[in-house]
Amino acid sequence: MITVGFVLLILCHFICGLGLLHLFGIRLSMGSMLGLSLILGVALASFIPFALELFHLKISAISVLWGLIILTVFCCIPIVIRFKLPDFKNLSWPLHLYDYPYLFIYGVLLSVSIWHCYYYPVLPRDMLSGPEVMAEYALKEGTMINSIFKIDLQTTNNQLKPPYITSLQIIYKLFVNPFGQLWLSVTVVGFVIWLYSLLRKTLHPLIGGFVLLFFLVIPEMYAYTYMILFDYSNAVFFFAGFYFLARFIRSKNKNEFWFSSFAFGIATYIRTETLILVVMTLPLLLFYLWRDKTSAKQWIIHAVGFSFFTVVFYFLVMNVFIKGYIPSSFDVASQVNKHLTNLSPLFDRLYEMSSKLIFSDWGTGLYGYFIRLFIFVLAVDAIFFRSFSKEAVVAIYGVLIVYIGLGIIGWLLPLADLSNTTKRGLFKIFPLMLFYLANSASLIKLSSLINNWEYSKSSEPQAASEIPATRKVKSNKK
Amino acid sequence: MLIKRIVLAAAACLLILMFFRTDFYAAWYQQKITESRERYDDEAEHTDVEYRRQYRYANQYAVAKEIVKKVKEAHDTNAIVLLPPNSYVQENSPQVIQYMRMPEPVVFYYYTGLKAVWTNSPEVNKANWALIINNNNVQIVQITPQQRTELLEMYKKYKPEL
Repeated sequence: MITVGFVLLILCHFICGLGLLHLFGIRLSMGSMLGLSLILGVALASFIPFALELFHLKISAISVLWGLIILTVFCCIPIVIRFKLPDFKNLSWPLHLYDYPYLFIYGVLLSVSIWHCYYYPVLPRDMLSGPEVMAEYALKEGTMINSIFKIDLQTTNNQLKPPYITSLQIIYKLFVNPFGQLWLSVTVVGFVIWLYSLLRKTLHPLIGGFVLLFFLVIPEMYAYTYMILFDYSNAVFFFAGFYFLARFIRSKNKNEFWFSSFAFGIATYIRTETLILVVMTLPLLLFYLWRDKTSAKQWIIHAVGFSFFTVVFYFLVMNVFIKGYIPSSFDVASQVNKHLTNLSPLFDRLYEMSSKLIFSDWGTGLYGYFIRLFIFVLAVDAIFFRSFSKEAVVAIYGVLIVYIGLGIIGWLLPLADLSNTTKRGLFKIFPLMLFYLANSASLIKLSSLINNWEYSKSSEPQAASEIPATRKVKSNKK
Repeated sequence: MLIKRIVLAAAACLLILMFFRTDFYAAWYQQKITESRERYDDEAEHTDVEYRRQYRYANQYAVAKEIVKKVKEAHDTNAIVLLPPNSYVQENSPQVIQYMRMPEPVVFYYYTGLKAVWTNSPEVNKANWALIINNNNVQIVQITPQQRTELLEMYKKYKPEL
């Protein structure tokens, strides 16, 4: 492995991601900025080989390197423009003693995942017969449209997938190691940092850390932290879209609205079916706009803005890249169910999702007890608290959208089978469940009890101002 | 407050330990983490790229590499390899299929850089090499058009599938 290449790439991802966050005017806690920057930086880097291909430029170490340098320099501009010196007086180490046991166990789990990512070559058949082989020969022939298209491809349609993984594999094979893949580790680590930081905002780390541990060890999802496929990254950006939508609904900050739209766009760039889920999310936004008594003009502006990046990225992948560049023909219409008036397959799929995929021994093996934890906490909140914050409502809506949306995708596209597409598509539901748990009335109450005990004056004198703002959560925000 | 934080840190440790003591997560941890860590020393000693490929892709990769070797020895730059249908191998050589399924042409190309065809491939009539699997014996041979026709006739009733 070329360690220097890896370190420089991580730095490049961080700067690019941070630059993009500054460009959108997003300000979050230090941990969230760090985690989100890494995730975003990986996604931005994927546009370099893709852009080279679109402009018919040769893909080589030099051209990709120049692309990365230009992107990084460009992303430095918003950082420099909006640079603010931190308030060093109020800077304090954000972690406490009780954070470390969780950080240790996350470290153990992630180190195994990273080692797998580094050590083993790409395994999933969907990769070997598509993005991976395309990337391998792109390095030899300087283009993604290479000699693999002279091979009999009738056993696969994986060459028709979005260029996200192909591009990242090209970059990592060039600068890090022959199997690539470590971009996935960067995404996963960034995501865990972001989630931990996000959970700590509303929950006491004793509770938040435990909930995140439950999430990290979802067996099937953990396996895809080291087996490259589209679904994990897609789930990360789909969640980012929902998270910033929730923030916009609370704060009405336009920057967060646009960033939400952008994150949904990236999720669609990674997996184009996400378009359907984004469209299904629109009513939630419109509902809150209606509740805030905004004008019809604002409705239209927001609806268009919300779908803008999604439509642009969908068009770029499906209509420009796949239709215009890939030699194999791909007709979306031919993939669509011919009997759309028959709704029974839709209900069958929804029933199978709950009976076979979620509430079954197979489902437990795949997803552990995380879904049951979510249902339990939701039931406690509904029975004993009967109040849901805006964030909790957005999370529940998101969970329903993923569940129903995957059923609809399975009904619309018969190729999207239960045991592969839907099984991995459900990854999108888990961060949303986690987000709900972060905003659950019962867990916030429990956290506040722990905080009160921890910061009570009975033990040592402690000025109220020293208690972190996020630890003062006493009542559920409505 | 330090004492309270120590108590909370101890509670966090206890929660983690209790979590991984439950049947389901204990088994998961053993299988995914403990066993992976046990393999680590051995893996760290074998970082050669080819070794790792061989280890991961097993017999499918080994056979593909053997084909490359034979083709190189024959100095054939236009080799196209006919692969038997999996259903044929299943019926004829059940021991082989347990350890190796036939790769699809594009995966074979990924492993070797050589073109391969299945019996339903457009270029099947250009195949000049064949992987012959008969009664659990695996052979790589150069074939004549006549032999290719005979092989295709033999495979006719077997549907090529993954």
